[in-house]
Amino acid sequence: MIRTIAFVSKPGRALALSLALAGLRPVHAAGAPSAADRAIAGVEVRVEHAPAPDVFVDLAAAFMRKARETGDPDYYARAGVALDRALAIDPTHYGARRARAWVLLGRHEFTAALRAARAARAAEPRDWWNYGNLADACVELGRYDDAARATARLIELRPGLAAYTRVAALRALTGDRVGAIEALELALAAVDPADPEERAWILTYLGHEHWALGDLARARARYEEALRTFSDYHLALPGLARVLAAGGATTAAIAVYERALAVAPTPGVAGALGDLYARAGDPDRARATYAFGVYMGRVATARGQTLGRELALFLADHDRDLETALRLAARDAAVRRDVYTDDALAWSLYKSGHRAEAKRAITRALHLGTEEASFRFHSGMIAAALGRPRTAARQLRAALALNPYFAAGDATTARATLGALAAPDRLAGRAS
Amino acid sequence: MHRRSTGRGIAATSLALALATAPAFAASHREAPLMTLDPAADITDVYFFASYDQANLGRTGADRRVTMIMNAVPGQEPGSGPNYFAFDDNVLYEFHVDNNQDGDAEDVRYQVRFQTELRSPDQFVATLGGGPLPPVSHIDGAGSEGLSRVQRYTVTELRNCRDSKRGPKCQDRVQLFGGQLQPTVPSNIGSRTMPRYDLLAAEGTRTDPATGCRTFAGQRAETFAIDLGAVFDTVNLRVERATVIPGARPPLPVQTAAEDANDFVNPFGTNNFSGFNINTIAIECPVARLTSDGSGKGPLGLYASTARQMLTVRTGNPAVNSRKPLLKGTKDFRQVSRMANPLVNELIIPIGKKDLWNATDPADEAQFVPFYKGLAVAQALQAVSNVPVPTGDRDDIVRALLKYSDADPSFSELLRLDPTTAPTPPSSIKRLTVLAHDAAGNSTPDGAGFPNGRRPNDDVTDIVVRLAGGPNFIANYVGDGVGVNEKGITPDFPFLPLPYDGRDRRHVDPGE
Repeated sequence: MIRTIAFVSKPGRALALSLALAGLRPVHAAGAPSAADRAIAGVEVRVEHAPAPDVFVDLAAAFMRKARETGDPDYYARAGVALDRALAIDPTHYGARRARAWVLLGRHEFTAALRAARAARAAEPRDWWNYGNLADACVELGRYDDAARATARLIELRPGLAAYTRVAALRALTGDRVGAIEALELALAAVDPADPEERAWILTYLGHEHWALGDLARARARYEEALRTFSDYHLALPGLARVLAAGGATTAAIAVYERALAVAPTPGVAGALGDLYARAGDPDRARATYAFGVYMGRVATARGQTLGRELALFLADHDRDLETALRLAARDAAVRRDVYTDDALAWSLYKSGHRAEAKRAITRALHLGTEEASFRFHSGMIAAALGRPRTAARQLRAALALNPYFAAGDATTARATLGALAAPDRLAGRAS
Repeated sequence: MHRRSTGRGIAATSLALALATAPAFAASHREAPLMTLDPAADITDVYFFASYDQANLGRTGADRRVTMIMNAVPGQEPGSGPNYFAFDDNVLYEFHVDNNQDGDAEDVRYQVRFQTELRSPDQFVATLGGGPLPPVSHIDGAGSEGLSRVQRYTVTELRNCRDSKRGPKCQDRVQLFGGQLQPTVPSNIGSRTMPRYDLLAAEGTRTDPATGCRTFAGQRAETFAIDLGAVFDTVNLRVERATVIPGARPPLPVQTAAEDANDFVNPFGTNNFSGFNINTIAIECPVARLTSDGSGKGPLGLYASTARQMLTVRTGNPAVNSRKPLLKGTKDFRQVSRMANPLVNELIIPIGKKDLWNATDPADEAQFVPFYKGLAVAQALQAVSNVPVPTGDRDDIVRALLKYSDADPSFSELLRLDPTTAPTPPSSIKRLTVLAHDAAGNSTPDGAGFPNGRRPNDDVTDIVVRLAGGPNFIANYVGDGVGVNEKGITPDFPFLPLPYDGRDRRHVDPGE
């Protein structure tokens, strides 16, 4: 069984090729200590020498950096322990208190993060840092107006990278992806040249925005630049693989997804890779990879970590363990009213046959006008199931117009469903 | 539950994988940058002095030239390709001059903006030797084909400004160079790519005939010298390296008069900035342009700032809900970094206030006065050295950094220069300025340096430590044991040394 799961070691050929073509080695080469590694090593020396609260806060920051660099959530736990040690020495230490919200966000404890961010803001209302955490917590919880107000305050106090990336997030959510790209370009110009991971992060999100608009060439260029800047970057690999798959380069896409799964496994990557194996006529590998996705969910649950909506979407997309999918999505939705959770809930409800509830959830997901093809696709499928062919056709066409490649299987389903709806749709068109 | 017959197989796989890969699975959320540095907008040093090149040593009165310098993009490891180092086109770089001693430095401003031309975005320089392009022999135009990126800038002089909600309103506006873009000097890559970097750098000095001002923007070597590692390690200075002075050293970082008088050797410290480069903006103008009546008389106050653009944020999508308002309808610039006197942000402003301080107009410094008066760093020096420091409110520090005179009612953190003080010739410049002395300890002050303005080679760390520590620290020549960098004094505009080149850079101190 394990033999069939070949993703553990083989580097992606497409990636190697694209790097060779670019003629550049990554600024951060695999295996060399990264900026976060150096930061951790440096602070650990200081911890030995003088274990003061400031030093533990710096240690927490270094672990946070390592967590984002690797996608390994264990580092959030270590960051939390470092803050605990700072606060054990000085319970009033402001640096540790304001960093608490940041660490809680990493651990997906969004309600607690919001509380911590508000407490830090009360202590230092003119410290822009607190508005960054406030904005992030509010976005994750779906409190978008609060997030916009926090972001406006953030940019007023400190225009720069932290503000520009958060403006981009809100613009993307409210249907302005062109504006999001503008803000991310400003962030890219402001990035520290000595911090390749930060640069790669911005490039990756630029790739996501271009992808969401169906611009494969620009998306691919940004993802490849991210991977040249920071090799094997776990956030960029799935993006590049998705673009390659959309462009029909199935073999190359499989290689990059295999790398992504080896570097930072997620249910979403397992699902996408399984789909590609299936498309390439390898059902055994597809099954094994899907099984790995399910397994990740179980291990995460056993470790007390929630993969929440991502796992729910993976299960719902692949018609596996739909009860769990619904339970996960509903549990998330009980605390988070963000549009992505509403979308996952809607899709899980739809797959479980709860169509009316699915409709209510997808309506909430669409309320900001987010230009997300999968939202439109889910909305269209739900409308079709509810016997509303006009709405269904409009939403499915909108999905395909926004990003004709949005998810290989889903785009195909959307087209097939549109075909089936064609006759009533023409009638409806004449009637209106 | 969906437990089908495959459950056991999955469990077996799971176990094998669990053993093989220590599972910790990524749960994604958008973790936007928070702990960020902004090097392009980070002003690390400001210099303000009567130019000490040969021509200016002979000038007097209103004809004398004064140089203003700001350094940004700090800590450049010279070999850091392929992107190397640039200014940010989105940042407004600005010098502000107060010439009527009211503490409000909006009388004359110089605004510098950059524009970048990208020729081949993935590479900084074309490959040479078998490659298609010749070595870089000019910073722009013919001979610059090997540069994949050319950054150019404009300089705008503004006079008689007052602040309004929509930014400064100025009565007079002069575009230097008639508004023409001037090229910056690129990073020093190495001798194959740039065989005569000295000539490239010389091309970066531009003279505007209409105003008599000279400008430079580009890479230079860092001249600020400090044992930063030792200072950050709770002032754990490296006295153990030095010869023993019975009863004094170690443990105290005191120096002998002879050691302290030597402007060419560091007695015991390690300069953390040796071998690093910075990006600099230098503007030199006849002092008559800076003074209110053209007389060339001062004193003048200066600070440098960087500002970044704000962006609009909406609540909700107007297409979905048209009543949702636009929260910030502005693209104004907002100050994100400022600097005048050295080490104020580092030593005086506490950690939680640094960003706020950077965003504040120096004329609003009154809110920070308690930190100057308390001067926590002096207490730290006493704790570490056991050498007593002055007690009570430090009005001497407030006076030195925030006021033109004892009678000055305002508090404004400006670098103040009396332009009637003649510049000291380079061969006579003393790094300890007013505290300079000979090897026997006899005072030999050099009045043309900090705190009368600041020159690139003034040893501000030791001067500030002694002023903060008071008479005992001055008498014992307390310092970090670092005051000199190996490139010495640069006797011509822009008065900072040529940058280290990427291929052959070294990180060593004089005498090491």
